[in-house]
Amino acid sequence: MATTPVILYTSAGMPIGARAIVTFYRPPVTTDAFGNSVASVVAVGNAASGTNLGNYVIEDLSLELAAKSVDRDGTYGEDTDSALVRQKPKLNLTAQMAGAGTPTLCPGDYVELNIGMKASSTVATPAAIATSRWFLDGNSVSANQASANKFGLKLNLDRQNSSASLIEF
Amino acid sequence: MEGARPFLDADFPGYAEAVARERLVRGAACLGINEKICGFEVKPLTAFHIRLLSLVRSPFLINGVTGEMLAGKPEIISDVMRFLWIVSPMFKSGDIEKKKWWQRKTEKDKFNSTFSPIVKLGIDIVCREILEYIEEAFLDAGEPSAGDKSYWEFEVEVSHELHEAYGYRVDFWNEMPVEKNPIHVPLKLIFQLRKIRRKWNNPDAVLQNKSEKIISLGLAAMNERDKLNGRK
Repeated sequence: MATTPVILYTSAGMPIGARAIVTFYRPPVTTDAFGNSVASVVAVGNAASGTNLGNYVIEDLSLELAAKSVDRDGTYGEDTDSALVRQKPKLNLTAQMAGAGTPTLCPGDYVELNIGMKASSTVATPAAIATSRWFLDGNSVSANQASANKFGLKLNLDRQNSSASLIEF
Repeated sequence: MEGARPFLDADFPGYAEAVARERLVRGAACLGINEKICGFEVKPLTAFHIRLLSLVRSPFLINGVTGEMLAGKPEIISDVMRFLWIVSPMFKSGDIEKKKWWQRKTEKDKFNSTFSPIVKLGIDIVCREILEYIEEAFLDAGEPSAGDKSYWEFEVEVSHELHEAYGYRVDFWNEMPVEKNPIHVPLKLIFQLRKIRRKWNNPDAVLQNKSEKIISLGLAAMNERDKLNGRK
C-alpha cells in the first residue's frame, strides 16, 4: 500500500515562479570598540525597530534545510559514531527594487515572509504559516543587471524573531 | 510589519501588456517566417544584417534615437531605403546585379517597386516601425555594458556560440548555404538561446526581461504611496 510521504516544505505560500511584494528593513547598527559596524540582526527586542527600505518584488524562491554531520571519534581517533546537527535554514530568491533612490540591499537587511517549513506530516497551508524573518547574508549583482535592478539574494532564518512553529525541523 | 503582499497587475500598469508582447515576439521568432515593416516584407534581423547596416552607417543603429529625431534627418528616405533593402528577402550582396536579357526585372527593380508605397506613408511612422523591428530583435539581448573592452566582433561571437552549443560550422571564408551559416540565424533566437544556456549553466543566474522596467517604476510609485500613508 502506498504511503503518503512526509512533506517537509510546501511552496504553497509562495509557489515557484510566482511573485510577491515584500518590504525590506535595515536593522539598527551599533559600533563596537574597534569601530566595526555590527548589524544587530538577532538582538532581542529588535522586532520592530528596523528602518523601512521600501518595497521589492521577489521571485524564484528556494528553501534549503541544511544539516551537518559531526564525527564523534573514539580515544584513538577511531571512527565510533557521528551526529547530525541542524544548520540555519537558508532561503534563496531574486529581488527587484525600484529605480533610483532605493537603497541597495546589504548583508544584515531583513524581510518578513509568510514562508516556512514544517516537519509535521500535515501540509502547511499559507494560512497556517506564520511570519518568519530572514536576514540577508549575501547579495550578488553584476554591472549589467543594474538597469533592471534585480539581485540574487541569500538569506538566513532569524530564529529569534520568527514564529517557533516554523522551526520544527 | 507585514509579510508579503500579492503582486497585482493594478500596481504595475502596462506590465501585463508588455509581458504579452514579449511572449508574442519570442514565440513568433520560432516560426521561421518573415516579418513586416509598414507592410513591407523583411527577414528577421541577423548578425549579418547588423554588420552590413553598420558598414553603411545606418542611423537606425544609433542607441537612443527616436522615430521623430530620424524623421527630421536630411536624406532619411535614402537611409530608410538602404535599411529595407539590406533586410529584405530580395537583398543580394556583391556588385550591382546586371539585368540579363531574359529578365524583365532584377531583384533591385522588384525591391524598388515594392518600396514605392512606403514613401507615401509618413516618414516618422516608417522610422518608428524600423526602430521597433530592431528593438524586438534585441528584446532578450540584455543591457550593453558601457566601457567593456572589445576583443572580438559580435558575429564572430555568435558563430562561436552556435558552434560550441549547437554544432554550427564556423566558416566565413568558404561559400556556405545561408541556412547553415550562424550569422544568418535570427537574433531573437540567438538571444533567447543565450539566456537559456546561462540559466542551465548557473541556476542562480539572475535573468531579466525588458518588461521588468515597468515593475521598477511601479515599485517606486508604491514606495511613495507607502510614505504618504506612513507605512512602517
